[in-house]
Amino acid sequence: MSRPGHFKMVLLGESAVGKSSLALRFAKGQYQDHAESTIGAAFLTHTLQIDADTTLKVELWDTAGQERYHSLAPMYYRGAQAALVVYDITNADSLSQAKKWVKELRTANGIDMIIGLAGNKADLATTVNKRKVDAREVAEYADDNQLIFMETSAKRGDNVSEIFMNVARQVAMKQPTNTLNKPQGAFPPTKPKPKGNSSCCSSSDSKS
Amino acid sequence: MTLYQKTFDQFEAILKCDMIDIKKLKALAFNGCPDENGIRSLTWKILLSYLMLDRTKWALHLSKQRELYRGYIRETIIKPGLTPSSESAVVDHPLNSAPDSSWAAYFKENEVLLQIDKDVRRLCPDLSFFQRETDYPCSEILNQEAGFESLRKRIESTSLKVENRVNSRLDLQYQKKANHSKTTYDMNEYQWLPDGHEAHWEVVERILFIFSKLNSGQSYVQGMNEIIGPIYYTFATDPNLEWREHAEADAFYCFTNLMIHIRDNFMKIYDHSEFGILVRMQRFLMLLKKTDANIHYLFEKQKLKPEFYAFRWLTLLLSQEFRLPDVVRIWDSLFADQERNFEFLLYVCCGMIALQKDRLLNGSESQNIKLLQNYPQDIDVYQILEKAVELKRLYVL
Repeated sequence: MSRPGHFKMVLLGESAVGKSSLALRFAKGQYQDHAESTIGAAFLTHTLQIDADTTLKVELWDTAGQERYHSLAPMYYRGAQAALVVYDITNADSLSQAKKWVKELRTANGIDMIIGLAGNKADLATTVNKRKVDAREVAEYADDNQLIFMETSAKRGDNVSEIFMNVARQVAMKQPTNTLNKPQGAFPPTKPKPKGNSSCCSSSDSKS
Repeated sequence: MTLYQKTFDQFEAILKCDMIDIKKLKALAFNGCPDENGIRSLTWKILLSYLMLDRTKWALHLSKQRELYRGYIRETIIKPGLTPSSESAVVDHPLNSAPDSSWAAYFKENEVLLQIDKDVRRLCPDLSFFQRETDYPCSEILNQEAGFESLRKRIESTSLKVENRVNSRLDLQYQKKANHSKTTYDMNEYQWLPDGHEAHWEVVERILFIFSKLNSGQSYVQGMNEIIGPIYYTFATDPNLEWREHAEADAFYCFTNLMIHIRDNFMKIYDHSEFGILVRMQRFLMLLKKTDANIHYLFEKQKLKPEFYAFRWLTLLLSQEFRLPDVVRIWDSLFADQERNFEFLLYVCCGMIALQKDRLLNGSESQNIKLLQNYPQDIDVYQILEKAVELKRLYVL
């Protein structure tokens, strides 16, 4: 008798890139044209069948995008095993914000955290010429930073379950299911870094 | 005579007097304003200190305030709308990077405007009211000559500028395509009505933009749209057309007055101050512990922090938790109680939890977060308020 494992995941990104829409599409298979703005954070869960004998319940925190609410974000990503950082392919500034989130997550949660990067509103790229972010450039960036990258459309449902599934699979690979339902304390504490400077060096790491 | 009729008559009697008996009005409003005859709309204007108690001074006060608001529209929207003939354009120019350049301020404001625009377009999506056309579009703006840059044009051109700037960094392939695309602003959200017509959300957008300009230290923060929404709705549906006509200006002042009491909720720098949101959440938690130690213990055990649900409850005065008719009913009580920094709100929150006690005690952590974030709509809001009053009688904060 195997109890299904679960893991905590957080959605981050600039306001109005479609975080709540991705969450809604993922958890309920629905889409709303006009969703109210998220204040604080919304909580959703959805259970995924990873393979024949593994199910994983995703506990998803969908956070608010506007700058005022950033100070709350650590409360949601602390202890989270995974994150999905979202930008809007029709808004290049939202990609810069997404990169900042990736940096913050790596600083706080380390390299063990599984991070997905979703370029949302992909439907707009094909129906109207609105694309402002080149997918190939982002793919390179994602490679360099060990991110699971996909362009998604919460509206049409493209790649939504796929990106969540890929993230969940990697979480499952990293942590055998039987350890996943242990409390947060089971995970290695994060290394505190002295400052925002990224030139922190470890002995095995040589930079050229 | 029914109790409702009696209450109605009591309101009418108080609101007819030359000198409003504020104590009596607050006591009545605390138990709910009647929906008829614009009583709520008028009562809120008094409770939010927009109208003074001396009724004989209202006419003059209102005409002054409304004229002042028209002045704000001229100064913040019409004048800065940069036209080719505008004087400042001669000495100043868009590439001027000096911090005091009016262009620099202009571009900064446009960012705020775009954020407001994103939010008001998705205000109360379950209610068609905000998408409907207002009978009172802004005459100040309609009377402008061609060439004046309205907020609509500003939003449109800002989106274009942002895109053009971005395009230059992009692959040629995309740039080519983008240059050919005609409409670039995302129009699949709420549509603009034809020139000369405005939807209610556009009026709300203007109020928030003017507010953000006049309060530049605070500016606009997401969530303020959820505070102005019910106020504007109440005023713009006033059956008395003389009041309805001025819903925009009146809502602006009432919103501004209300924000004085709750603005700290919206500002990061005040998070830890006496009236900041973190301290308020702590006070709420203290009250919860007093009113129900079992639930408090359970939440602690489940690591269910108030940030997970009460942050939104307190910041938005519950406006996202209930349907609009229920929200305005709760606000009757809150506004009647506001001089104590919305203390009653904390009791309402505890009342909401008390009414779900059985489900909460049997729920897992994640079930409970979901329950509190999606508060059951089958509960009568009167039950919640009754419970809150009972708790207030029994427990001192």
